[in-house]
Amino acid sequence: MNTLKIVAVTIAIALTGCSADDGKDGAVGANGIDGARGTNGLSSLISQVALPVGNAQCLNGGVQINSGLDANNNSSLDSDEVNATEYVCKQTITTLTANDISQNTKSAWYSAGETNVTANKVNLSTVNNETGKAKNIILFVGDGMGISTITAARILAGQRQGLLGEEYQLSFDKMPFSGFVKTYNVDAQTPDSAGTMTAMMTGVKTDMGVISVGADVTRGNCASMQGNTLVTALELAEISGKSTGVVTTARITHATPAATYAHTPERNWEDISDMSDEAIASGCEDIASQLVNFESNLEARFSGLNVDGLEVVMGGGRRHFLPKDAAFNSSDAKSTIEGDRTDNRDLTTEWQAQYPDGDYVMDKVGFDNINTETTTRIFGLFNESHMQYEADRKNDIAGEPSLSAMTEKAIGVLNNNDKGFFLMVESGRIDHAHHAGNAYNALNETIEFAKAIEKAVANTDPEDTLILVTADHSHVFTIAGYPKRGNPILGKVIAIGKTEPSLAADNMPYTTLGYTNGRGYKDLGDQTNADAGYAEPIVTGRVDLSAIDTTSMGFHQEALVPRSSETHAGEDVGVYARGPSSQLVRGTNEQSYLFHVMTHAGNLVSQAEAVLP
Amino acid sequence: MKNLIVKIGLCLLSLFTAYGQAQCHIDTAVLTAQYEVSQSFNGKKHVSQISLYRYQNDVAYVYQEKAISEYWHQQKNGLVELTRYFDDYQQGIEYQASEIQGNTSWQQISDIITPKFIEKMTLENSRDNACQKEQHYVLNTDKQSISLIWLPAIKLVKKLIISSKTTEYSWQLQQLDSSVEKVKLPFKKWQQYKTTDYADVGDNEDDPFLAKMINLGFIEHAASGFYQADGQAIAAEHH
Repeated sequence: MNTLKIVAVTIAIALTGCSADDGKDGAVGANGIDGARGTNGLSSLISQVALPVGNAQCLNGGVQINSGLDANNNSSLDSDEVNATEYVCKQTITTLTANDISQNTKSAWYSAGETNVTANKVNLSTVNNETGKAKNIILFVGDGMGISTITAARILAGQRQGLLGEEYQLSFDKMPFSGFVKTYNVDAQTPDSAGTMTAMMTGVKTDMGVISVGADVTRGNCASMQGNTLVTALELAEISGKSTGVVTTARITHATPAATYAHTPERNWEDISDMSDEAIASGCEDIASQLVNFESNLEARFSGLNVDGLEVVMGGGRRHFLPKDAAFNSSDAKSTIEGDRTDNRDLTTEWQAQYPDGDYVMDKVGFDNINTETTTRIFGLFNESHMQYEADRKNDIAGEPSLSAMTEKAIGVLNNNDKGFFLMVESGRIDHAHHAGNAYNALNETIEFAKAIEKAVANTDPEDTLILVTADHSHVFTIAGYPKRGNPILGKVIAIGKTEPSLAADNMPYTTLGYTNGRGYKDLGDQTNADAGYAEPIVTGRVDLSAIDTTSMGFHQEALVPRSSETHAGEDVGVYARGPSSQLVRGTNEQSYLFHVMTHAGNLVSQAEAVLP
Repeated sequence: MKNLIVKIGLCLLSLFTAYGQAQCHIDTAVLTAQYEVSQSFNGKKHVSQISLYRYQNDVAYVYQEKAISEYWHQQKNGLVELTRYFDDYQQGIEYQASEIQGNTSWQQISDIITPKFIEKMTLENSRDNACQKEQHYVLNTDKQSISLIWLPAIKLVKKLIISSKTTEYSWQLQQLDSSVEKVKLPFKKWQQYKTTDYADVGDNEDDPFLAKMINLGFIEHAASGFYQADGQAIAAEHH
């Protein structure tokens, strides 16, 4: 603040007295004695205050000039000494030169955003929203892949490439359109996979635990299914003459894949041994059987319909297709008796009898030998239960393919149909790793999921293929604390400018990633199987992690609320899109909306109606 | 001789002598052994019964008191998986961990202790009794004393005592049976139980069985009974 000080000068004037008659002037008397010196006057002070842009008096900024007397003689113009204020405001800017925003434009963030705007304008103007323009539709579902999972997986993937991580983009991060999805079930705030996948596949939200049937069904009650069976997008595609496929790393009879081809009031009826006598007597069919009988069941539902069945089925869950008899064990059997079926049916041979030209495979060698240009269909059951975690795949007895390899192979077979195809690909084990409280495997599975999507992008044409990427629900998984940029995402929180972990109020370090509930802390070292933690006791409360390598594969994050298993979460999930009608993916939507995006893009309802007699 | 029952205890020596050569015909991979397991802490003693079953690539521990059984299966590739059966509910939870954590190996599961454990101990004496040789090992450290009577021919613990100032664990063989039918019996029973894959527990917590299991803390309270080379119990019982 510049202060201008002006000193006033005080002048004293002496006046002489006067008489009644004017006489002669007497002699000039001697000068009187000087009067006492008057006190100095007050200093007058002026202060200037620079005003920023946005000031109420000067919207474009300027100077505030205060003036007044220095009453307390402290050589400073205090606020109570100000007796006048003037403003000198800058003039309104009517033009902006490049130089004025050079601090912005020379930033890489700025130019990247500018480039994105240009690209998105092109995307908006060129994407085709014509009904039926998508010959092919691929729905990718990351089971349990909430937003925090995507963020953490993105950072991990970037850090594995030597980057800081946060700036990295997973394959589907690059898709031009995205939105949010509300995941709740009709009867549940926090949903399960059965209800959520039913919403996506049928356009109808339903209850937790039921598969592609309406909410009027009572879970586990076979008779209540009457009149409540819904039609799925995959079935519409099949009726339309497209090739159809289902790929997952979970059991192929698990809720998410099952919702594409099966209809049941109980997600756990994966084979007949899981069903009650009442359910069997009432005519309900187990999910594995519905898979093998998909073609005939669909034809039976619509009189006069002739379809050719699923072309691609790949995943785990062989136990639900084989009799409970060791004689039917495959060379990949883990258990003493591999099959669970109590009706003595071998559904793998039933499928082969039905499709003698198809390839039934159960190991990686069989998978690798499939020629996508000559085979007509694939039935791949690569594990007795769920397929291995990606990190653990090497431990499979007979070997099994990765999700990205299965996706590429599936597209290779399905795209032989000129009418196009519908494919659902699920990464089923993101969910399982989260349930076990093991972030490493959840993120590792997500990265492999992104690779599978990358394969689909590389092997399809955006002009005729709609690719949707979403999750069925989230998990109680958080990215917390204030770690510095580039801090290992699986590591302990280290603050900006620090090299040692931050300490919580209990004087112990803590990890960036954590769970609200679940089994809690485990340190299983280099254990690649997330589920190994289930054999360990639940650990509640905080643990001193000072000497623990939290980035190891076997580390299980701390959890607040002890539970036998970590749970799903109820917040929205993301949806990402590329291809025809992908611009319909925007805003916040009910999960059932995604069915309509797919059927619009592929004109599936009209095409199916045209086929039906 | 398939139905061979050997009582271990005061009459063990005479039985071994009486059956003599017959002991050699016990298939180490097909037997069941009944143990009395006691745990003492500050003078309080808890005694329970644990049965060990070996049948080829399957090993099971039956914890009678808890009505819980742990069934271990060695896969063709040598990896191990675990199923916990709950007799009261006739259900099981499958843990398909392809590798068992820590120092637990198939040998440890099958034999309770490992050769590494024995190597650390000093052989006090050895009693040749046909193929039922008994070896007495001891190990004394600052913290604990370990005494082991080992039956090397059938790779079985006859008696194991691990004691410290405040605690004492002991495994005492009570009964041995090599009847194939008897050994296979629990395995057959468990095959009839409905099982849930560990990975599916998170999606099925509304299942009454799983809810009960969670409430009772079945998983965390099941003891493995395995001992590491230093004598520490791996996942010992919580009280």
